Amino acid sequence: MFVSDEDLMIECGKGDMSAFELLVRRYQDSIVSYIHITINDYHRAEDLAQETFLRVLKNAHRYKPTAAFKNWLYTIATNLSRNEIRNRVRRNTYFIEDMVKSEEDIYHSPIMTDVRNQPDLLLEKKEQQQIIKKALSQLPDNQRIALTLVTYQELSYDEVAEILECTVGAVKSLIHRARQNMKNQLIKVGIGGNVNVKI
Amino acid sequence: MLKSDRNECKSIQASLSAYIDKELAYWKKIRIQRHLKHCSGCKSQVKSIEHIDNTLRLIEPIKASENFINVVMSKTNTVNYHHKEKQVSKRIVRITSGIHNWVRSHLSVSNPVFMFSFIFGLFMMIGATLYSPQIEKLNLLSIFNVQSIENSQEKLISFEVITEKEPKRTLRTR
Ligand SMILES: [Zn+2]
Repeated sequence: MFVSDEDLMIECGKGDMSAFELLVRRYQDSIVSYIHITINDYHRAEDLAQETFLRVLKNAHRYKPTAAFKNWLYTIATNLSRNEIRNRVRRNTYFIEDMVKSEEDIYHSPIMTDVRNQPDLLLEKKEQQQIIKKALSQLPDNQRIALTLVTYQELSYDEVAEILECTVGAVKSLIHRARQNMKNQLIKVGIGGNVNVKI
Repeated sequence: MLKSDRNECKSIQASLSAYIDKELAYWKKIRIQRHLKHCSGCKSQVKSIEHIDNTLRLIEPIKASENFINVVMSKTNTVNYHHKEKQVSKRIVRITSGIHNWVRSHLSVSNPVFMFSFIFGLFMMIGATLYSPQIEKLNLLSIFNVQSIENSQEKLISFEVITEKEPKRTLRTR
C-alpha cells in the first residue's frame, strides 16, 4: 500500500521515526542531486541534503497537510543552497569545483557502470558535464534554481512558484531568461550549436 | 516582414519556454502551434530551446551515498530532544489558551455580577497601589549603601521610643 508523503509527514510529526526514514529514502537522491547542481559541490551537497532532512524533522510538528510536502522540502533545500552560495560569495570562492571532487562525482553517477570499459568516452562525457555545469553556474541564482527545478526535478511552474515564493508569471519569465542566458553561455564555451547529445 | 508580424513573433517567443514545458493554457498552445506552421524564425527558436534542454540533461543525476540514510538517522537524536522540548511548551500554550477561552465564554461584559466584581477588583488594585508603602521606604538598596543602613537604624530607634510610650498611655486610661 502506498502511503502519501503528506500522511507520512503527519505520522512523522507525531514522532514516528519509521515514517521519517521512509521520506528520507524517497527523496534523498533527488535532494542531493538538486543541491549538487545548484551549488556545484558534491560533498557540501550531501551535508546540506542531510541538514534539509533534519530541518524537516525539526519542523514536522508545524507541518500542515494543506501544503504539498515536496514543495516544502524543496523550499528548505533551496534556502540552504542560497545560504551556501551567499557564504561562498562572502569567502570569495565562486563555484571552484576542483578535478578531485569532479572525479569523485562521476563514480556516484550511473554512467560509470555503462562506460567503464570505454575510458575515452567517459572522459569526453565528464569534460562535457563539467563545461555545462560551469555554464550553468554563471546564471543568476534565481534563474539557475528555477531552471534546475524545472529541467532536472521536473516540477511544474506552479510548484516552482510556491518554492521560490513568487508568481507563476515570474517563474515563466525566470525560465525564459535562464534559457536565453544558458544559450549565450554555451555559445561562449563552444558547445552552443553542435553538441552531440547522443553521447 | 511586416511590423505586426514582428510583434506577433516577439510575443510568441516570450512564451516558447512555457510552451515547451507544457505550461500554457490550451488556447495559447493552439495559437503558438498555428504560428509555428508558417514562421521559420520561431520554429528555429523552439529547436534552440530544445537543444539547450538536451544539453542540460547531459548532466547525470547524482545519487546520495550509501551511508546517507544512516548519517541522517544518527543525527536525529539531537532533533528529537528539541521536539520534546517544543511539545512541553506547546502543552503550556494549550493550557493557557484553554483558560483564556473559558474566561471568554463564561464571563461577558453584559453579566452584571462579572462587571461588579471587575470594577470592585479594579478599585481594590488602585487603592492598594496608592496606599501601599513606597518602594524607596523598603530600602532595598541598603546592602550597598551605608548611609541608608544608618537611616534604617534611626527609624528603628524611633520605633522603640513609640513602643516604650505605649504602656504609659494604657496606665493613664486605667
Ligand atoms: Zn514567428
